Amino acid sequence: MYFRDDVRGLKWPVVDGKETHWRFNEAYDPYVKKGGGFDFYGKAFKSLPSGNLEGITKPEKTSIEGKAKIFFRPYAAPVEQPDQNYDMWLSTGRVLEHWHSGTMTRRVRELHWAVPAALIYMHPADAKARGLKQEDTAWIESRRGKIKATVETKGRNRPPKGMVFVPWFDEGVFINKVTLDSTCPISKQTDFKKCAVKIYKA
Amino acid sequence: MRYHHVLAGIQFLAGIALMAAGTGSTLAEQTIQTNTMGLSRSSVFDVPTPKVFHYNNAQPGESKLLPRAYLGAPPQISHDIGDFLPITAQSNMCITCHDQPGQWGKKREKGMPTPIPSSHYTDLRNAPGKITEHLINARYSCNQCHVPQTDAAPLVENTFHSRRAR
Repeated sequence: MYFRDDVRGLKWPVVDGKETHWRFNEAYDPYVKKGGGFDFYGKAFKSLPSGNLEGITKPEKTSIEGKAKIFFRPYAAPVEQPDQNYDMWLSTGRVLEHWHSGTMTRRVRELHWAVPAALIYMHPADAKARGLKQEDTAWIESRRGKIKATVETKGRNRPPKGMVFVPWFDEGVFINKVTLDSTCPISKQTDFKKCAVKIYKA
Repeated sequence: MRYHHVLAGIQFLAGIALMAAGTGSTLAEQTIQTNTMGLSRSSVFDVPTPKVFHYNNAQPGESKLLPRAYLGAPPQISHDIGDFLPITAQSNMCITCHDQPGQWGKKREKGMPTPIPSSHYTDLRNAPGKITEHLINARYSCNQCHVPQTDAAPLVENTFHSRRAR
């Protein structure tokens, strides 16, 4: 039903054709029990052991039905941070045209013509400091590997100074040769979002 | 992200198989070359120099409109926008020509800009259905949806035709 013209662009969940501005709030969310005010409904985590940042102090489960569940986790520093040799952050991700790996979208003429290859998006001041300009080819090098990509300073993605962005849809610009091979011990997510690199003219 | 990782793993295994093939194994005939996998046609063991692509350099007013793939698709930019970027709070060169609410519903003269449609003058979230006199700020970053096209050769033959889709 989310493809229908009359609900397109509305906030999920759409109930009886109406969007839900604020979830779990009685004034907006029709699924909240009447008279409940705020009600964090749902089946998960009805009761949990409690504790502090050091660990669980009260193993027996306490009911927290209808309450928001917020997990406070200890801060973990990035596995790698920029230093004198590798002086920039690298983040990887997507472009709108190739939201996943491009196996489907790169076959679509319009999308391929719009973004034919992965570029290195960087701040114009960072590019200038390295003698780079729009359409130059640059090396992106980390402690693990290096690849080449075309410099883009004027596009949609405008990273702040000190950071570059390279999307990963293009195996010709194989950015995962550069990224970290480490995984978050808590969420099990791979750490492709941040590592230290240096950029120089190819 | 995970697919990418898996793909890399497959290609790595293929590479190992290739190395084993060097010792006279018949595996070589069954091994898929890494540069035949994927759409970029390059081996993950190489570091290719990416080809620089150029966006359309036709001047505004001189370019041919590009077809829309489906109803509702944001029209593609048919002319050069190199000098118009980046779009900032102070400068939006697109609006200079395309902000033409007076042209709604009229036949577009050849070489004249396509007017920004009334949907872009409507605050869909707070006042749906009400067409205002000014462009809604949420529509200000034109190149978020509207993109120019490069001269890149298609990676895969595609027989889709926009007219047949309608």
